[in-house]
Amino acid sequence: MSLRQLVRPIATLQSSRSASAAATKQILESAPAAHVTSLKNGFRVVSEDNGKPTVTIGIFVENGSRFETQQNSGVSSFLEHLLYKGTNKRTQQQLETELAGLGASLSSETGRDHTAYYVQAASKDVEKVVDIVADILRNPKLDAAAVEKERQVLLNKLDELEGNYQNLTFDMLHTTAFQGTGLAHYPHGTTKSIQEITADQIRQWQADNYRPVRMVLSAVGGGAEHGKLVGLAEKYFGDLSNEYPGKVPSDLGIRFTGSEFRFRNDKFPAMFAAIAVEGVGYGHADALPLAVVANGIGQWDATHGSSHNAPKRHVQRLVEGYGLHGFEQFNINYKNTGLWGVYFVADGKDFENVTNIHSIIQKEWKHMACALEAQEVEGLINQYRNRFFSKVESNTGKAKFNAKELLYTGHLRSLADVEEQLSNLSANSIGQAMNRHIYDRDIATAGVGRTEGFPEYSYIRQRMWWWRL
Amino acid sequence: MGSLTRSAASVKTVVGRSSKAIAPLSITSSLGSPDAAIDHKTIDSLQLATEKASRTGLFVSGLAVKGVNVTSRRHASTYDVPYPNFDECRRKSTLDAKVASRDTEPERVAFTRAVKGVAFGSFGLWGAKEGVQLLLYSKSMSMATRALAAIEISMNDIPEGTTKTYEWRTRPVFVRHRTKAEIDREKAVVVSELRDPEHDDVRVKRDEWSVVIGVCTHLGCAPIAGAGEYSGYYCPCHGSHYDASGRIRKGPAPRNLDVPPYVFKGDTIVVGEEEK
Ligand code: FES
Repeated sequence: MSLRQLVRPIATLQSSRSASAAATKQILESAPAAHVTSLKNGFRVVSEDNGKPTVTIGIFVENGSRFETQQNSGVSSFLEHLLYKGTNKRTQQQLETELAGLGASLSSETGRDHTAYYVQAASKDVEKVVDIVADILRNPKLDAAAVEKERQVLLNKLDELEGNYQNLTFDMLHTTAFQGTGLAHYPHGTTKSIQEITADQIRQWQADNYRPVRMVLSAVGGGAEHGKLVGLAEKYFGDLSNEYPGKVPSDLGIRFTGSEFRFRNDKFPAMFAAIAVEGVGYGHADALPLAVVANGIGQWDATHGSSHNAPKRHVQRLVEGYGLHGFEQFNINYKNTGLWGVYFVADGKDFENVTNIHSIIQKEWKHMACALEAQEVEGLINQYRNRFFSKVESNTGKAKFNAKELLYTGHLRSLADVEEQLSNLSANSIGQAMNRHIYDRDIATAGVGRTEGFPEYSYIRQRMWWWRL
Repeated sequence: MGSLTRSAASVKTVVGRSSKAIAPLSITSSLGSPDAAIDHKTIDSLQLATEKASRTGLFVSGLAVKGVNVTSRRHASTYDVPYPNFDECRRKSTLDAKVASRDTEPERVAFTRAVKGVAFGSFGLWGAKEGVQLLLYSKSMSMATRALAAIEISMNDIPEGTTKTYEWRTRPVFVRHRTKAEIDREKAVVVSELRDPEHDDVRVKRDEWSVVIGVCTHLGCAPIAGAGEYSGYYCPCHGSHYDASGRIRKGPAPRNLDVPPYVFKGDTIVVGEEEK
């Protein structure tokens, strides 16, 4: 009898927990579903009508610096910039007035493997927005004057970028980790390439890359009714041919090279450092556990309220006077490879301080690989769940998620699917993923700025494993 | 104009300066940024200029900083330094950038693994042997037990008039085959005149054989057999003289040499065994 009493409360606890998990799943399953349709020419449409008064319509194109060469490095972003400069139908002025009239905002970004254009607008303006975006993407003017003007803007931007130390560090990290592949190229190009890219090359780039199989239209919000969007897509993009007049773009390799890059410049205010192992592609089975761990290691900087009293043990140790300004664990997934590691900024005044920072972070990685406990896992999953679901809460966030899923994996997970995958994670599965990809793996390191105290490669590499049986 | 916004304006402050959010994946452009080539009124550049000014002081170096003063702008950035090509140092299997390095790894690490395997394997075997040995020893006779064991000495090995040394319980044992003359001499000694009065009869079991422990009773040196003024044993350390019965006759040692337990068995002497 007494045993029964002892056992009972635990049993109820478990059942209530799984009940709440089930409830979460039910809620997610009843959320508006995203529908996917592929047009005859390969152009994909994904939409999700959630009844909100606003809508985000995005077009994602698979291109970017990893498809570029040394010679045309930066052409993807060049093209993206030029698309704002007016079409054959509308001048830049008209474009702006028209969008302003709708109260819509157009933004875009070019990364290493995709360019995204998205418009946030009122839900009643779906058709008008698609019309404008299609016009921008399909009939850009790309006239010589605009090209020259934009060239100067891009060159200035290149100069400015060097002052963005974080960006610089990450670019250098990519360059060394993926040396000899397309991922080593800078999204913004080099001075030489930007100076030399011709309007013809840009036009050629558009013809080669803005092909229907490489594009996804993703709409989330009110008025994003699927049938309607498929109709619009058919009307505005259905006639796009899937034939390649030039050559089919290739991603130029995925080889990761364990290596070190150091750019010392004592005029920089601090040491900016990144160490990373080869991550996994977006659709890889281990992508989720690695993302969960990365999110759990998290980030901290000097502006945070907590230091010694931080909830995370590695943060408590990191703030112990090693001159650390901040760190952030990152997890980047490209289509077929990735980078997983940590970025930090420190005084770098003392070798020992820097090595301590490295050791503490790496120890945490090893802990996650070898000694993760069940209750820790629950915390990690909750943290990730919070982050993930708040990211896809907005129309734009969800539109990006949907588009990325389609572009990278060819199919779409619903939020309930993600939740399911999350709740299936265990200390064991996370530990296994960590062992496959992080534990005792080669690393790429990049140090920028005051790197005198940056430890040499073998020192850091050696700390990727533990003596253990 | 205001309707077109930059996308990556979310700012996380690291080092007390703003920089873009951590994902370095995207650079953004904006319809809203002015296109004049030398106008640094973009959000990025303004922010940067302010940061630079506040960091180094506007009048100290602000003017020399590229990008703030347009005329000093140079197009030579870190980004323009080409990354060296290390293909020459690569193994053949990693020359193809399209192949993930993970896929060529088994082949690349095979040799080092094998070397390590052999090295650590043999090391491991040795370790295992040591371990087993340790276990077995702990189960086997201890040193003390072993030292209690008896030794057998063949009497035929020791001709009359000689002394031989054996080891027993880690100590030397002198076995002396005495001559008639020696026996007579020792039997005749007047016991009352001795420092440690003992008659030869109590020190031997058979007159021909004297068995003593070869440890000087002074400070523990090993005496030399057949030497000294009494032609028995002589300890060179501090000059103790023992007679052929092992009794102390001269020098600093306080006692006679000890007699170990022993028995005669056929033509052997067994040292370490008590008479039953
Ligand atoms: S030890 Fe033998 S005489 Fe002192």
